[in-house]
Amino acid sequence: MIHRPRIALVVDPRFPGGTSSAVAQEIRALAPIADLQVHGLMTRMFKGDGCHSAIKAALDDVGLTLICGAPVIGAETVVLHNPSCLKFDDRMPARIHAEHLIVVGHENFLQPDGSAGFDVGHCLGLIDRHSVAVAKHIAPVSSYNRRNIAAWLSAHETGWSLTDFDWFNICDFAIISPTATPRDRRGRMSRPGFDKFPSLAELQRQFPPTAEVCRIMGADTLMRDANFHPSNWELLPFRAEPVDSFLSSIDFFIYYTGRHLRESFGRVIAEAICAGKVVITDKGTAETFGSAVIACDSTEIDEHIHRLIAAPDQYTAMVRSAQESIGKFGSDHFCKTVLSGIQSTHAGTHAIL
Amino acid sequence: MLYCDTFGNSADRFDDLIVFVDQLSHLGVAAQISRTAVRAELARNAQYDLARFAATEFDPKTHHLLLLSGHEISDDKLSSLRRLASTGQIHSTVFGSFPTFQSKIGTKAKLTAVLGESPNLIHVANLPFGESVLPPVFGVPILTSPKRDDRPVVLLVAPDSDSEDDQSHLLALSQSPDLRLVVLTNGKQKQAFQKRHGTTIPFYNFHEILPSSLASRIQAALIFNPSLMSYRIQTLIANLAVSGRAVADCSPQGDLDAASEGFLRGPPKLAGLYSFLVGTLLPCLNAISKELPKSPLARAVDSGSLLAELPTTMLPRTDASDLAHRACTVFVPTNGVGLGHAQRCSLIAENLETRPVFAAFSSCLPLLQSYGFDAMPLVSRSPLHGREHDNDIVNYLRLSALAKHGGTLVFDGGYVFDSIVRTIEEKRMSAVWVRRGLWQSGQDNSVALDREKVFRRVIIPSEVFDELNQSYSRGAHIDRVGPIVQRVSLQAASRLSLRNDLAKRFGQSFDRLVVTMLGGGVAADRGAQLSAIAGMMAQRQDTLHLIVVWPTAVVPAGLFSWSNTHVVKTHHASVLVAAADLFISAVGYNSFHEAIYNAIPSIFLAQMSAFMDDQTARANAAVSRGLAVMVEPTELQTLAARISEILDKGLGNEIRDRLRQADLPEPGNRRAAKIIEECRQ
Repeated sequence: MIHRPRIALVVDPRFPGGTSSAVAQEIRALAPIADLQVHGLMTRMFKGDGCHSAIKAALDDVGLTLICGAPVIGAETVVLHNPSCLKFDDRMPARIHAEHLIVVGHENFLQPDGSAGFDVGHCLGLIDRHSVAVAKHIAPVSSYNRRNIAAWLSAHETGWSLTDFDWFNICDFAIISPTATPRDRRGRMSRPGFDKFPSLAELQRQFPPTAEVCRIMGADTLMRDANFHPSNWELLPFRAEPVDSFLSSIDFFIYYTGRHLRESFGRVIAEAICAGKVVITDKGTAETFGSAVIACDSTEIDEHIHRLIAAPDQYTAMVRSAQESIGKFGSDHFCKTVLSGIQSTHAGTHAIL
Repeated sequence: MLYCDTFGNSADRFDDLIVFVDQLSHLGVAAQISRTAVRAELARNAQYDLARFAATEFDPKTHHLLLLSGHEISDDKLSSLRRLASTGQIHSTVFGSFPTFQSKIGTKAKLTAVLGESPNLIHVANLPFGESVLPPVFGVPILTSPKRDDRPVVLLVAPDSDSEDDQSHLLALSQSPDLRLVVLTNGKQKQAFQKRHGTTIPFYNFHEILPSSLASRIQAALIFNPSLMSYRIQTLIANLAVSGRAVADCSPQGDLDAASEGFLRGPPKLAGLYSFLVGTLLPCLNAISKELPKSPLARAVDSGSLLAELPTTMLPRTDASDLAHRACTVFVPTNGVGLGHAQRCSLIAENLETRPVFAAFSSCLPLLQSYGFDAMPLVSRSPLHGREHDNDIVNYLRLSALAKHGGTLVFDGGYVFDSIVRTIEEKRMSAVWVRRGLWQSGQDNSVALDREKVFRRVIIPSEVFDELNQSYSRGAHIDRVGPIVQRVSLQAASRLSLRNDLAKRFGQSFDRLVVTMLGGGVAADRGAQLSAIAGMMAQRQDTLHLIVVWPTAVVPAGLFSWSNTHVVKTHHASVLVAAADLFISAVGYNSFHEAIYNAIPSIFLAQMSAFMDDQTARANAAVSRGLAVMVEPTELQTLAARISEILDKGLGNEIRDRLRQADLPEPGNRRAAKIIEECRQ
């Protein structure tokens, strides 16, 4: 008989951005090959009892129900996504019984300047005190996230260990061919948080008056003082348009965060690449995607855009190459990586026992 | 320069910001309040409070951002801060309630994102007053404001004053020879008490005076209701504690006393207050002033820990020299119907040993300058201003600048503007109010009298006739002096010479000189009377008629066409009046007393408006003694007859003789000046 791993995914299903989207993809990927439970952890980080539409759709697709309010979450492997959701809680909403508990980082534990990203000690401590497991691991989502978490762990005495493998975001987005006639149509989308945006001066440099199109989705905070911004900016609230529709209206995806925030993965970049766009971002954020994106200082953006508009072949070649490289974040690769990772983790523990 | 703002989105939090910045200013820390902190609707007091600290533009090179109520962080404020940071990264210090590590991280991350720099985030505990969400409470050492007398001033904070018994206790306490009582409470209680008992006891409402100013005026404070412990009150207590002035907890539960060592315990009921004050507190004030600054309470509110959180470039300079010698005496005459206040002030001021400066409305400036005084212009009220007190806010800033180093302020006027009150309080000035009497019955002067509390002395220039003198308030600080009047001693030869000069100047020889000064301006249109008088004078070939007005007056064009009548614009009417055979005049304080003291036969046409003094009563007092004639402004036929009686039938000489023989009180010019000199010491 083939052994099907028994996995419980635990997530606060109200995360508005990348965490929920990534978990939704995992549900689709893991359900066929594992005995999967999905638990909703209703923390104090969010209000209401809604569930992210992507998670809801994924559960419907695979025929699972979101389990909320279970006093105990038990499985061979319990995977708790994004522990930062517990930062405002004094107690865990559920206890965890597992052979292996894996906490998937999602957020960076430290900010680029070395200060705390959130109260990691509090969140991990809460999980630790409310769980019984043979081993407790933290899985990073990218190589940068790995270094970041390792730096935090090295400065704190905990019983947590870092997995050998990355629990990366599945990027199974539909591949769309790039345009053969790129124009200076720029855009960005993100959660609306202030930290997701660079300074206004930087943003104005990235979306100059000379650009034909400047669309910014997730611009809720910018819209508070819309009169102060350039007239060629089209500011859209978070989720104002379906992502594919938004991306279809631009040719260059410009993505820079504030310099005090570093994306742990950068899922939105993969999404733009698959939609057939050239992505331009800062060198740090580019790390996860290598040559699939243009990594540069924002003063160099115009030069790159003008060069690619003048050479449409280079534009399409770059996008096709990038789309190919995104394949390493596909669900097949994900399943292989995490299942073998889990197995080796188990084997290691059994060897000790 | 600190550029201060708050995340708090309420009137109370804005008030906290005002108090905080004012406190910083007393530490010598330059601080301004950001435009984005200013709420759309500010109460009147807050508008004045803000005026001194309102910031212009933010400059990231020279400004350091200081934010209060960091725990109330909001997207609106973050957006405005992000705009501010568009000119460059901003260094900042943020005070707030951050009880958990996560609360600190979250706020810090958001602020770092919009400011481009990580802020210095400080959790505020304010332990002497229990956990709170208020800005850091810190005390500043306060100098004492000049007092009316040697008695210690005791402040009661939020005492019960609703019941008959409590009011009786307060009134009894206010009569004590051992202390002076001041009450700080809400506006409703203040109003209710004053409606019933007048202004016997100085009452302040909570937002009427800043803690730094109030602390300088008192020697001890008794706190009755700690549930009303706003940031203002906590700051007041802090100022008193570090300045060594007693603070007693008179709450029923003794919450403050329990929270921190340094409070005295006082009786919770007003009934037991007198014996506590006289038997316990007041005898120990000296000892308290030495011990209290060393207490845990004073240490907890020491400004040192706050200053340690600020960048060193923002700290006060330590080489501030004593600038008290630059204190000056400032006269501020209000602008009434005419220039009477300014003229009265100049008559007093010329008797001072040291030349004072003036702050005066533009209409008064030429007069004052003609007397040789320096004068800073004040802004008059105008319908073009958005609010009726907008001009006074500007005047407040100008007066604050003029009296930067304190000194003595002499105000002459009926209504004491906010700008005057605040300048006196904030600059700890020794203040004198020159307050002419004879208010009309039925006038509501409650606000004016309430503001008497800020003056050290009140000089009341008497009316020449005693039945006109009334008392509006009592106390040792009230000084009634003789009439303030300009005496013109014109010898016969000089008088003749002046009249010859006038004949030459106007190309008209004359036997009779008539001077008309009817006032006017905002109070009444005197054009009809002036035309009628000019018409009468046109028929008199032996008469030169001068209509004398202030140089700023607007004269109806028709007056220039009458024969025998000439319009004279001058600040020096007195000498013309002294040379006249008949003076036709309104009955303002100055012109009336000049007519009486300089023995000029006069016909008075009283000018009556709701906001003016009782001119009819004043004129009647002279008429009843046979010292003048009065005519109703509408009875022009009578006026013609009276003019003829005085000029042609000997009545003028009779009146002049009676006036010369009248037993008039000594003018009060010198006495008033002496009182002001006493206040300067």
